[in-house]
Amino acid sequence: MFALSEESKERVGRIIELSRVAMHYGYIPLILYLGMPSSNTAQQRCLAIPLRTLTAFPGYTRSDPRPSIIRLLSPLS
Amino acid sequence: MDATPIVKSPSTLASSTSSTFGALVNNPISRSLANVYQSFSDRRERLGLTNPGAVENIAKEVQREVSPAMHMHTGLRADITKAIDFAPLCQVSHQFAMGDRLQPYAFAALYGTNKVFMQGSLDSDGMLSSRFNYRWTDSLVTKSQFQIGAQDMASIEHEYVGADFTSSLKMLNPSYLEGGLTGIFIGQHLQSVTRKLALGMEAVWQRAALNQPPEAAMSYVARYKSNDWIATAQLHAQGALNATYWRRLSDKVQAGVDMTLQVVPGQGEGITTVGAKYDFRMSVFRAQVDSKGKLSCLLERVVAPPVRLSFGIDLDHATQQAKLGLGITIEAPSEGLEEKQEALGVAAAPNIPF
Repeated sequence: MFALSEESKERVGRIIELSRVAMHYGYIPLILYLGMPSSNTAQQRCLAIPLRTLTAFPGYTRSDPRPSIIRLLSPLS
Repeated sequence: MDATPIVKSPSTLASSTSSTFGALVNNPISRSLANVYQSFSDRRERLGLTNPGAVENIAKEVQREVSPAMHMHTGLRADITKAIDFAPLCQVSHQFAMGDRLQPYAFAALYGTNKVFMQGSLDSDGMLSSRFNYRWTDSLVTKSQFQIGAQDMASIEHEYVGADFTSSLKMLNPSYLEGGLTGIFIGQHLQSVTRKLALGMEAVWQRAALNQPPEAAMSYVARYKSNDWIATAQLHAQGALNATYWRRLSDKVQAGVDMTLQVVPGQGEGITTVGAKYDFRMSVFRAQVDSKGKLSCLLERVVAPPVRLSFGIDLDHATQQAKLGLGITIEAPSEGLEEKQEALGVAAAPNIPF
């Protein structure tokens, strides 16, 4: 059994804290991003996302028919 | 007597050592081991055993299907689910609720393909519960579950589903930050022994903190599945014995008995539950009564295909308490989705690693 040094313990703690915050705010948007393109290219898209398509709602603008964000997020529509 | 395999081998060995590692694969010891393993797995295949399911689902017919407890809620509840796509599966849902131990609002999103299953739910207290499952091969699935918010929780499980067994290793809050291993580790194995009988065990190792000693416990389970009835037994390490019996009475009616005995030396405590489930054309009715005088009923009814109503009641005769639950679920597909699903057909539905 080896013991972690104080320094690396702190670093690991910081990484965990950072990924925790990223997951807290980013997980549901990620699911919506992956799921939103209703075209049949969705699967290829989720495996290899070209950098160009990462700009502002690529799934939203590309999918057909285009689902509106309001309709997606509002419970009343 | 012991020299026979070694004498036989050199003639066959000379022809097949082509690569550097050929000697590793083609030596008499490993080959005889491979032969033994091959004949063992052939013989196992000939038994015609089926997969028995996971240890934690051993009594799912009684505890999940028949018993209303898993589907029960008290207070008011409304779920609005919108399906966005079927292949890959994607849906969002809004959950509104009133009552004790229920969050007023939660938003959930779900995404699933053949390999990945992702689910996230964010409630009005800002707590995120997330699930991420990944299928590495047809039989190996890794399931992870995280809770982020007031109380953080992490759980990672690897599940291997073989032809006649299921093994899993589960880790709850594993950590090495304190300089030693802490957390809860659960190993489970369930093996079909004959076509009807499956035996299994569960080992739990836990250490809450480094200044506390680790604890280990073993549980044993057995499941006997006949044509129209299933009996299971579980012996837990703390001395609790749980036995269930499930029977299909007709194609619309199922019944189950669940008995738990706490056999701690000096004091004994037991509870028995009897339940039944009726499947009607547009509704499902579940009812159960236990030996402490508690009666619960749950009626789920499909009013029109997208709208489902549920009405549940919990009556405790011993303490004179009653709890009522009313729920509505609306499933609305986004426009154009139904035609798309019909065009794709049933075969296109992805096999999601739930």
